[in-house]
Amino acid sequence: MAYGISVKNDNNEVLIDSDFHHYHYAGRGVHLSTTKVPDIIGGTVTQHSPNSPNTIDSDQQSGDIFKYTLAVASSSGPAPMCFIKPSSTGGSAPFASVVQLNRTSSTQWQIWILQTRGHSLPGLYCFLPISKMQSSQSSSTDSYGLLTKSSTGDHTFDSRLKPLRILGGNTVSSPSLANTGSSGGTTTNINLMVNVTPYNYAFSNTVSAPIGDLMYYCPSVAHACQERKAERDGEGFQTQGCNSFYYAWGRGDLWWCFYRSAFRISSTTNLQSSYSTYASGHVWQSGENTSSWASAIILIVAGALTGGAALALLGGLVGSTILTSMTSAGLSTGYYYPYSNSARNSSASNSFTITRASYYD
Amino acid sequence: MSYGMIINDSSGNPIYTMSDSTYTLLAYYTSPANTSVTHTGVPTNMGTRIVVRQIVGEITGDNEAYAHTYSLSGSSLVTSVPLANNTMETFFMVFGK
Repeated sequence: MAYGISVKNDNNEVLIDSDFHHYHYAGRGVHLSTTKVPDIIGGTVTQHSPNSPNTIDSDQQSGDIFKYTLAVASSSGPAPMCFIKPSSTGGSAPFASVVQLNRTSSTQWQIWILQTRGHSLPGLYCFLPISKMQSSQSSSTDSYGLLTKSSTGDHTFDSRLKPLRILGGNTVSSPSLANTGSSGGTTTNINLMVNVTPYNYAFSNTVSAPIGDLMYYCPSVAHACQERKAERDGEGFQTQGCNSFYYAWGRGDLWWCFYRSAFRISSTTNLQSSYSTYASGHVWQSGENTSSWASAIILIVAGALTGGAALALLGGLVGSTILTSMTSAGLSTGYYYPYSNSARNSSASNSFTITRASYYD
Repeated sequence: MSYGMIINDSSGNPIYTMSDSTYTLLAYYTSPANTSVTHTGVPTNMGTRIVVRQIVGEITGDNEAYAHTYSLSGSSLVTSVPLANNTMETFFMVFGK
């Protein structure tokens, strides 16, 4: 810099530089609504195939989506830094993350937090460059302090507007699976809940801030999708007088969950990375063949009456029922299934930062 | 502290001191979906720089929703597409201290 002001802290890190925009506290995000991605449930059954399960599994509990808004002077340019103030902390706390950040108008952002289902509303502390703040956010009654301007006249730092102060941070990635368990078989007692061991990331907390005062900024980048299948079949004889017949049925079930990476503060110096369930589905399809006495006996001898029936049904199910309907819909409708039993962006490291809520309350 | 700077608010509470730390916005960029881009002009005059990225918009259809990968070197932020036709628009913010 040829002119202006530059201040460094005791660690030779830049604390104030009038050439660059500092983030300042713009207020809490305004809670707009709490929603949940709709479950996808549906299927067909035939006369002799089992009619259950026909609901979402108890281990497929999609998380709560808390939607917030943040008013700004202009939503163009840099995004707000949105810190999650967790509803609880520690090893049993829910995982939460910002999964969407949308410019809903020229003067408003909408922020979506996904959090493990069934916990209290987290806080959302938002920070902006002064140039993106509305006048109500950037005004102060204080008549003294330190204000810097860039060469273009933009206010870049203002001590009256609660500039962002960082305690620590690190880079974070996510586990490659959200759920560890076997897939496939004949059991319908499936488990798709998040059970992977979280990754741990240390951060500094030089002021020994209490755990309940900490909050983090770390957008969700990774996601994962896992599925479970069950294939069942059977056969029998339907007595119906002169019209009695043999039958064979097959039923294929497919359960899946889509997860987004999410985080929690597990101690005063540790952030954990895992997943929260974002969307869930369960679809099924049955088929049935019937045969007269004579032809059925021939088929049974040939072993062809039931063999492979369920598998074929399931393949058709995935190919038609799911994929066809999901190619144009958005994730928030639950229709999203482009891959399974793996993750995307799990190794894509992202920076996280930690601050404390009491600096801004 | 025996020297340096303390900025207090009107109540005398410290807002900023030499023992604080912060991240300052150096640059921000958007890499379009399915397009590798090298962004130039990232300021280099801060000793520590970090990059935060975020997928833009809602994941839809059969897109596998990869985020751009990146490498920051000097004044260049190189962002790359991990998988053609399956990479979302990705927003990058570079902070420094």
